Amino acid sequence: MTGHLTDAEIQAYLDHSGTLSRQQLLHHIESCTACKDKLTLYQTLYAGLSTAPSIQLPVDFAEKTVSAAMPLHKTPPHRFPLGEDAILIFGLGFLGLGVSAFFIDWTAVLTSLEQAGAGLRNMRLPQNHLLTDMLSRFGRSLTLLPVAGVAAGLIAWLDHYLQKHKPGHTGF
Amino acid sequence: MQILTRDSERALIQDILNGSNQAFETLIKQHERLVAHMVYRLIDNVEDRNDLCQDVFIKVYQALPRFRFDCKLSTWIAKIAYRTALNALEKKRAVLYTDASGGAGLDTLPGTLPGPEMALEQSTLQTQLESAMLKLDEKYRLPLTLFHLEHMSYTEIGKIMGLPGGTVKSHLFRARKQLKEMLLTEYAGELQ
Repeated sequence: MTGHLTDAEIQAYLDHSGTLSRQQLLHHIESCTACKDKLTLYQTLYAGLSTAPSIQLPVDFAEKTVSAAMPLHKTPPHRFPLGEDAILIFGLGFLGLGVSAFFIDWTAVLTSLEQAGAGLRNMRLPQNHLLTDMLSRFGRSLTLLPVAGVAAGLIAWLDHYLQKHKPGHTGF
Repeated sequence: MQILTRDSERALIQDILNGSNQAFETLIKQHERLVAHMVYRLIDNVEDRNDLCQDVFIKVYQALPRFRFDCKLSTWIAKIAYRTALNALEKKRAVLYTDASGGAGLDTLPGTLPGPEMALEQSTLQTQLESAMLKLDEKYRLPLTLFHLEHMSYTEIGKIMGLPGGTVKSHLFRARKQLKEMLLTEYAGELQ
């Protein structure tokens, strides 16, 4: 090696990105005080640069930032895999089917529909008793509304409970 | 900053997208040091720094659904922090420019320059370095912070700043040389 080490060579050595080996460097600075001083100066500089300056973020910075960000996304993109609305709709749908299968006399409904069809075919108005029968069934089905309401409430509560106890979720 | 694997990064992001605010708090805690280092290095005003750090994380939260894992999460967050800090600097410059047209800015007031007593108090190397760093161009300050404090490679820093790795290396070399010369000139007696 001839001449003095350049700033770039010393920095590259300290960055582990240069071609100068430790042996070459040691050999050179043994006989060159100027380069030894320069290396010492850079080593001091590197030590100073690697010391973190005082960062004064508040202790509750993360918590406050979460609170600040939360109103932006009140509704998360996904909760349940199918989505809570889908679960509620499916639940109510199945409940409705179950209730109707249990309480409604489907044979009578089909007969009534057939009679209505026959009435239409004969170009006559549906018989009075058919309308009465349908209104009566509708009236009976209204009594099921409280049951359906309770069932929907139970489903909503279950959904809320599962969300609340899901790991990592505190409800935004 | 805790090192996250790609899988744990994905899991954390998925939790945040699923609505977990604890997961988001974890992400903030894991990266607040990085963001603070960058913002503190670029923004001089102490009062603005914390607000800006918060802005960075709000932007991260908003942009998280668009993160495609094409780089490390920390690099992506650092990129957002860099752009946010640069925008804040640009806005501040615009204000200073407007103020300057009406009279001398704060920077030019003689009373705000550090006096000899203050220079004496700044006796540690760290303080000397901090002072010297402030005199460096912004494009030199950030690579120094990311390289020495966050242990990022030239390429990673380049991704954040939108520069080739070679340019980052060159910025780093020039920055250190300038710092060395500044320290030698001002504090030669103490360092040698």
